[in-house]
Amino acid sequence: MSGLDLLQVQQLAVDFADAGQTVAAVRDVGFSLAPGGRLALLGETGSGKSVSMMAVAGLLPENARVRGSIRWPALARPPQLGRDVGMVFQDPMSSLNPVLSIGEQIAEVGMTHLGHDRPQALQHVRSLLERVGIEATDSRLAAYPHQLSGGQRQRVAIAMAIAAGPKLLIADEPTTALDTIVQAQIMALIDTLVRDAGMALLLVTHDIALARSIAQHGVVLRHGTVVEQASMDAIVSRPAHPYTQSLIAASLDVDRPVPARAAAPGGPVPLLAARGLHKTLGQGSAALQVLRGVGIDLAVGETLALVGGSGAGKTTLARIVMRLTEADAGAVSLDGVDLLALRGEPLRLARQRFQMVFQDPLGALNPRASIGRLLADPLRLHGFDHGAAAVEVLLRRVGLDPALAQRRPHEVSGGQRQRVNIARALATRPALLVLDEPVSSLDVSVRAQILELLRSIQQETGIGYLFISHDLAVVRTIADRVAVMADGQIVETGPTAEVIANPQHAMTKALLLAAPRLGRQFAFEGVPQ
Amino acid sequence: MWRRFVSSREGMVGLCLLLPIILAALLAPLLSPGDPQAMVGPALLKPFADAAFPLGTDRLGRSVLAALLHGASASLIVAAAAATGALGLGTVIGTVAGFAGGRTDEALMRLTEAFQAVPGFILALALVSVLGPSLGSVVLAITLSSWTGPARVVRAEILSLRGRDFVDAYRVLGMRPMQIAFRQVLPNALPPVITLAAVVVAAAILVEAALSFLGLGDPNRITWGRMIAEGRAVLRTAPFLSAIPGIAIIVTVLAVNLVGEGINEALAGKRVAA
Repeated sequence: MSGLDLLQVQQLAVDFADAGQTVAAVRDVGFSLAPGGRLALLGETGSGKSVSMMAVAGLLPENARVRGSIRWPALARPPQLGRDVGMVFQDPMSSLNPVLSIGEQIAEVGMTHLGHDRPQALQHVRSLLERVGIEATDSRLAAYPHQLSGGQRQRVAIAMAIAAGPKLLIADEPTTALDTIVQAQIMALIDTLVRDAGMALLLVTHDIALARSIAQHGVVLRHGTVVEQASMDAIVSRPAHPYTQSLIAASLDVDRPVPARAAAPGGPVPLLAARGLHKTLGQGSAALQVLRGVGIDLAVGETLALVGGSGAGKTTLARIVMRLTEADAGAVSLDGVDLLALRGEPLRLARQRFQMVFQDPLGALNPRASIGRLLADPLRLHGFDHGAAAVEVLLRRVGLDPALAQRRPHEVSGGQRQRVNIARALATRPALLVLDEPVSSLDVSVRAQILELLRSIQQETGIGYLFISHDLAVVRTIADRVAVMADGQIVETGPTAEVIANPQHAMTKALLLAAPRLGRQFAFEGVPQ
Repeated sequence: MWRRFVSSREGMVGLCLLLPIILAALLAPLLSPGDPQAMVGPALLKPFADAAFPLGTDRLGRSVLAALLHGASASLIVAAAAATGALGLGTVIGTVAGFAGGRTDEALMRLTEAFQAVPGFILALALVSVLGPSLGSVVLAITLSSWTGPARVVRAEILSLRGRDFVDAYRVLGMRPMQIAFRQVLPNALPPVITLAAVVVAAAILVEAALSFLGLGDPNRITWGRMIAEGRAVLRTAPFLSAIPGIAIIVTVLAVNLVGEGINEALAGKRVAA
C-alpha cells in the first residue's frame, strides 16, 4: 500500500452568506484519512461536523464560501460524488426518491457511473441487495421506499452508496432515525462492507459510543473548531479537553452504574393499571395486530419504562392510555377510575390528571403560537390562573428564562423546546406523565439535563412517569421498573437493575447487546441480522 | 414580512397601480361631487377636448370621468364584499370538513362539488335574475359562485395539519375540537388562502362587470360594466365610451393579481416549515 493519504483536509474554513451577514460555520479544521481508514467527526448540534463533511463531499449550498485545502493525494483525478465517494444520509425516507422503485434507484447508479445497460444494471442490483441483506426477489425490486421499514430503507441507501465501488463511504448520522436493534444491524453491515471492500469510512455522529464501535480515530468539534483529535480509544478513556470530558461524562452507557434511587412512594391503588389491551390497525389482509393482550402497572410516584423495537406497540399503548386512540378491547384505570369509559365533559375534566410529552419537540408545538400562549392554554382550559406570572412560574420550573415567553417554537433550541413541552404537560399538575421517547432527538449533553430535570420534578411532586424508549442506557438512569415489549406483548418486566443484569427474554438480551457502549469495542458478531 | 413584500417587484408594481384606484374610489364624492348620472354637458364630447370634461361625455351628456370614479367605488365595494363573503364561507366550510372528517366531511364535499358543477357565472346570472338586480344580490351571487375554491384549499391544508403532534397535544390538554380547528390549526392553514384571495377578488371584479354589462347590476348605480354596455350602441363612432372603463377593469384586475403575487412571495419566506 502506498503511503499516500486518501483525504487530506487542512485549515478548512466555511462561511455562509445570509441576508448580507456572514456566519462562520467552521474554522481551521484539519484531518486526514488513509485508504481503508475510519474517522469519526464528533460533535453536537452546531459543532460544524456536518458542514465539514459537506465541504469534503462538495455538497455545500451556493451561499457557502470555502477556504483552506481539501486534497485527495491517493486519487489520480478529483473524486466524483457517487462514484469515488458514496454517501449515506440520516433519514432514508427523504434521501430515497419516493416515486422510483428501489430496483430502479439502485440501477441508476450503475447506469450512470459504471456504464451498465439495463440487464447488467439489474444484475448488479440483485447482487448489491444480497450484500446489504435484502432478499433480491422481483417483488422487492419493484417495491417503493414507503413500503419498506426504516432499517430496510437505510440498507437500500447503503446499497446505492456502495454500488459504484467507492474508495470512501461517508455516513451522516446513519442510524439516528432507527431503533437500537436496527441501529446495531446497520452499523454491523457498514462495518462488514467497508472492511470487505477496503473502503475508507467518514462517520459523522453525535453519539460517541457509536463512533467508538466502528471508527479508529475521532475528531471532536465544537462551535466550528477542532477541540480534540485522537484515536477513539484515547478519546474515550483519556479525554484531554474539558469539553470532550464533559461529553463522555454526559454519555449514557448502559454498563455504567447509576446512583441508587429512592423507592417510589407507592400507594394503596396503582396510579395506572392496564389489562388485556388489544388493538388491530388496518383491515382485511393488511390488518396488523399491534397490541395483543397488554397489561401494565404503575405505582404512584414510580417511573415505568416501556422498551422495545419499532413496531412493538409502545406508542400505540401510550396513545390508548392518553385516549387519543380507542382500544379494541381491554381496560385502563387511573387512580382506580375506569379511564376508557369516560367521554365528553367528564373525560375533559379528567385530562387534568394525565398528560403527555411527545416525541418530536418541534412537531408537538403549534408553530404560530408564542411559547407564552402555549403554556397559558392548559392553565386556562382547566381553570388555573393563566396570567403572565403563572406562565413565568412554569418556565422557571423547567429551567427556562421567562423572556422566552415571547418567542415562537422555531426560534429556540431543541433542548429548550423539549423543556417547553414538559412545562406544558406539567401545567395542570397531573399525577401521571406519559413521555414518548422524550430525549431521543436531543444532543448528548442536553439529554442528561432533561433527564435530571425530570428526576427532580418527580422528587418534588411525586408524579408518575410512563417512559417510552428504545434506548436502555437512558432507561437505566431514570426508570424504577422496566417492561419490555415485542410484537404487541409484554415479554418481560421487573426492576430495572435486575432486568439489565439478568435479562430473561430474547428481546431483552438483543436490546442489551445492541446498545452502544463506551467501555468496549462493539461485538458485531452477536447481532441478529 | 412587509420587507419581503416590498422586495417583490410584482407586488410593488401592483400596489402602485392599485392604491390610486382605491384612493379614487374612496375620494370619488370629493373629486367629482354630485350625481355621476346627472347630465352636465354636451353629448359625445371627445376626451381631452374640453378641460371641464377631461374624459369626455357619453350619449346623455354625463361626464365619463365622474362615472369612472364613482364606478370604481361600486366595482371595488362589490368585489371586496363578495370576496370576503366567499373566503369567509369557504374557510368555515373547509375547516369544518377537513377537521371533522368522516360523514361531515363527505356531506360538505358533496355540497362543494354540487356548487362547483355549475359554471360560476351562470350561477351568478341565475341568482341575480331570481333575486332582482341590486348591489346586495350581486354580492350574494358572486359569493355563492366563488366559495368552493377557498373551501377546497383550506380543507387540503387542514387535512395535512390534522395529523401533526401539536393537534394531538391540544386534544390531550382537553381543548374542544372546534376550538382546536379554528383557533389553533386554521391560522397555520391560511397562507395559501391569502394568496388565493387575490384571485378571488380579481374574479369578482370581472363577474360584477359582466353582470352589469348584461344589465343585471343595480340600476341606481353606475358601474364600469354598465358603462361598457351603454357604450356599445355608439361603439363605432365613440369607442372611448367602452374603451375607458374597459381599460380601468384591465388595470384593476392586473393590479390585484400582482399584489397577490407579492403577498405570495412575502408569505413564502415567512412560512414556517415545522
